[in-house]
Amino acid sequence: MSQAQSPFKFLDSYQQEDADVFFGREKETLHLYNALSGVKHLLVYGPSGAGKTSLVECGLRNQFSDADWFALTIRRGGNINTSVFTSISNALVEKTDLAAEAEFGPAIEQLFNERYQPVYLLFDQFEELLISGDAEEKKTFFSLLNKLIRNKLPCRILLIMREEFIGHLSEFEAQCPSIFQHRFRVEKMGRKNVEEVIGKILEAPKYRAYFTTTDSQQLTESILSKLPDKKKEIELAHVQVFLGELWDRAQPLKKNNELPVLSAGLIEEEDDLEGVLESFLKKQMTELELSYGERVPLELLAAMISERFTKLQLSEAAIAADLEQKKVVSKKPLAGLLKELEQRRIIRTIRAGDETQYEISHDVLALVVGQNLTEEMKLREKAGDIYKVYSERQGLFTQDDIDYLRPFAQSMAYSPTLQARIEESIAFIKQQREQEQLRTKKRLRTLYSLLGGALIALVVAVFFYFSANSAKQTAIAAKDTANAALEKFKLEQAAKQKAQAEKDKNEFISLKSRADIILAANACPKKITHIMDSIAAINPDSLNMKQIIKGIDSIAAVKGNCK
Amino acid sequence: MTDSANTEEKSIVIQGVTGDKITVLADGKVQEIDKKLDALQALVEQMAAKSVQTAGNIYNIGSINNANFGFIAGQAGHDKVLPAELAQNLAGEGNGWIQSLRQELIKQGISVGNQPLQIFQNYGWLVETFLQKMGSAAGQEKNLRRLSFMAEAWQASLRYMCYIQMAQMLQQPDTAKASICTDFIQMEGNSYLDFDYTSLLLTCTALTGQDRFVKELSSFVEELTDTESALYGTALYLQHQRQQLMANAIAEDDQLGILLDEYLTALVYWLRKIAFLAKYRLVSIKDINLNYRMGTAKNFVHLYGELHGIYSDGGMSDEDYNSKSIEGYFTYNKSVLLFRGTDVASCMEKIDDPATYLSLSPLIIDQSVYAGKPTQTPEIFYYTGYQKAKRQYGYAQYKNELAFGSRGAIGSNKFLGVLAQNNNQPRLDELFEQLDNVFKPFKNKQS
Repeated sequence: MSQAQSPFKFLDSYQQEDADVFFGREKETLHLYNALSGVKHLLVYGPSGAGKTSLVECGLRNQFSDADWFALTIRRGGNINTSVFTSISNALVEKTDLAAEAEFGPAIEQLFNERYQPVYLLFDQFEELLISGDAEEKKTFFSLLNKLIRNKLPCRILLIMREEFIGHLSEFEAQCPSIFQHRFRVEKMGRKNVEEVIGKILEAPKYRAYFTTTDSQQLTESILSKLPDKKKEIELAHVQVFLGELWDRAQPLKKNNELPVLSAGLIEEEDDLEGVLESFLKKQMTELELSYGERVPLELLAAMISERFTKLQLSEAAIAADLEQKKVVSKKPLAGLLKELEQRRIIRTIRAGDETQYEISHDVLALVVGQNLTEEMKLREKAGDIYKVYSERQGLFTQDDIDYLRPFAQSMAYSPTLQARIEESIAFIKQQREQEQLRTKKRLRTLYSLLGGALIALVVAVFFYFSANSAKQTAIAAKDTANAALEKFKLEQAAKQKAQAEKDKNEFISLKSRADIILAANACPKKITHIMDSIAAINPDSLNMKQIIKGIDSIAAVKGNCK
Repeated sequence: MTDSANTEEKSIVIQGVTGDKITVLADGKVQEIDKKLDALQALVEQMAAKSVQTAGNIYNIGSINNANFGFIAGQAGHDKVLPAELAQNLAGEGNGWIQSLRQELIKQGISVGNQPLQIFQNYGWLVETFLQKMGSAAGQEKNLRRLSFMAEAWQASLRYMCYIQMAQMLQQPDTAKASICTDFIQMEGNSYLDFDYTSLLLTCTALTGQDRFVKELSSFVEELTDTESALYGTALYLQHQRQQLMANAIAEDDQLGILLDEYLTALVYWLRKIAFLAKYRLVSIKDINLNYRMGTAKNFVHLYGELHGIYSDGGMSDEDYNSKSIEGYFTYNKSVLLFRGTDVASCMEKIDDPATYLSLSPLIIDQSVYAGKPTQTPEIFYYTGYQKAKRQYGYAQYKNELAFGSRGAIGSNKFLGVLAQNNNQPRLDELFEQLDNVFKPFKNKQS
């Protein structure tokens, strides 16, 4: 690293005072101003590295008189709602306790009453809220935002965010229905535009005190030749870093008391404009590893990016805790490494009140850090992400959860709270299992008892069944026997009766014959009647007999009594 | 009024005024004529002069009339310093001057709070924006920029009164038109910055007669034209220092502090004199929709934005644009209206009487109503002239600041050009038609 820093913006965003070197954005600036005209809030979105913050902080800012613009750039920090009140409170001359305010409006009004300037709330890196904010924080913010929008205060709100996250906003349309109504997309610079920007930067009067150029046109073309042909657009940060690299290369070549000379000759064969940030990062990491230990600088930067490779704001204590958890040990104090990273413009310091936080200079660099993590670090990052998800879950873990988490412990130790929850979950599962076993035993006992009872009942039933069946068979047999006997009896009876009837018939015939004879011979009717009654008692067809008897009686009446 | 550098044409210079006589320099000769417009016009005709010069200002002879003659002629003999009665009690540090405005507003019967912003808002957006700038960190610094804010507060209030008077003339095409009105409509380039609005105000007030929307302007103008009055001296002082500022003739030195105090004193005196403006309310009518179904009355739903302060009587819950339904009557769509009264909602209840409101459009417009997107806040612009070669009407944003010294063009100053065909903002096409129609009588007279 050179002792003197290059004069270029490097990874810093352009600010109000950079208007004289903020090139190539005139049209976008005008369009952004027009987009904001007549509206209370504007969603400024675009890809990472498109220059959203610069367009707002420098381009848009210079469209307003300082008498008509008081901007508060607000980052989420720990909680976005708290950050809004803190920012306003810090800007107030007469400090009051804004924590009691339930809405943003009165706080803004207080600020306006003091400053007489319309207030602009610039929510930079707004995706932080969507990535890291909890549900209540988000809901509260969008509700308060909606009230502020519908308030006749001279206050406008700009939500500046990466475009891949704007879809998440739809979740909050209920709280803030007009959230998508006013929006402005910032595009990356096209090749032609970048060429113009490089040319103007190399010839800007502001930079004349820092370097000279032999042929700015040739140098511009040479720089752009290091951009792949297929690449139609580029982050300006890459160009800034590349110019800084050229400036560094020019330092040893300069003559005494002369300015370094930037020329096409400084560009090397292997230079790659698209990969300049990556090579810059690797170079810086290699240099710093000598003092702080292998992988330590990169581990520190890895702690400062989110799972989506966006930059995070962290305090030194938070960074130290992260490294400790990862079991990363620096050879020298962490504060020294942070200072060196800041000197190399890789990270920047953000001071809010008494608190000092650090963040990576640019989202594009955060992305490069993310892309350069080692496999082990990636696994650890993944473990960290998963731990985070599980930490946010309510209740105890299941055995499946614990089994899922277990392999990641090899990459990254559980956090104390997660570890405690896992142990608690294991104990609970063990307890659950023991109770379950007890319950199972009890159930089995009951089951066996029931089964025994059932078996006995079954045996009894079977016994009775077979007994009944046997009795039934016996009964059927008896019945058959009885029926057979009955049939036989009936047949016998019938035969007997038939024989009797035959006998009676014959006897009757005989009697009749005799009666005829008697009648004919005046035999005693009573005797005949007696015989006839005997026959009738046996023979159902004795009616004829009775008629015969009657006939006999009538005869007897005629003939007189028979003695 | 044109720049004093353009003096190549033959002109008559008024050198002094004494009683009923004027001392003039004509064709290299000093002579004394009666202090009458007729006498001056006769001399002009005799000398075949095209302009009259006085106290550094040059007037086209046609723009001088009975209404402004006394005011213009009086400048020649005036030292343009702060009137003595004001100089002995200068407004300085602190907010005493703001409370002085409050007292005057209360005297006018206006209910006003104690906070500076609550006091400023009574003058309407056009003026209060510069009073606010004076209160900002940039406006508190003892430099020329603070002076420019004060100068523009005065200029904006003067323009505001001109719009009120001019608007009445626009509605009466048969009214006799003075040359200065035509000059105003046809201002070119940056001439709107140093146009003689005082003369325009005096002329328009005379032409509108007694049937004025803002009755209080009669007595104000009467006092303003009284060359013996403190108001007359104050107006000349305010105008002169503004011209000096624009000409980069004021240094940022030790004396500037005193000048700033003097100018503030004069401005406060002026603002107290025009405190009657607080009895009127400036409102942007964004849209009017007819709500009418079978069996119902015709209700005209007015979507309006009040152009006063950050608050309205409805409190902070009010939005920049609010809606009000009025049965049977409607005002002008897409226009900026001036209502007589301080409560806009009540004023709108009375629109069945057209005498209760006055349209200041197209002299003042709300750009938001012409936007092709849903807008939430008014964006007010005022008329700056007509570029004949381009057939383009010009407007400037109400909070534009005054360029002076080495500041050059100010990036934050915004302008709006209205052409016959406006590809970026097609709804301005209809504004162009309106401008052409409304300004036609003025342009035809002398263009």
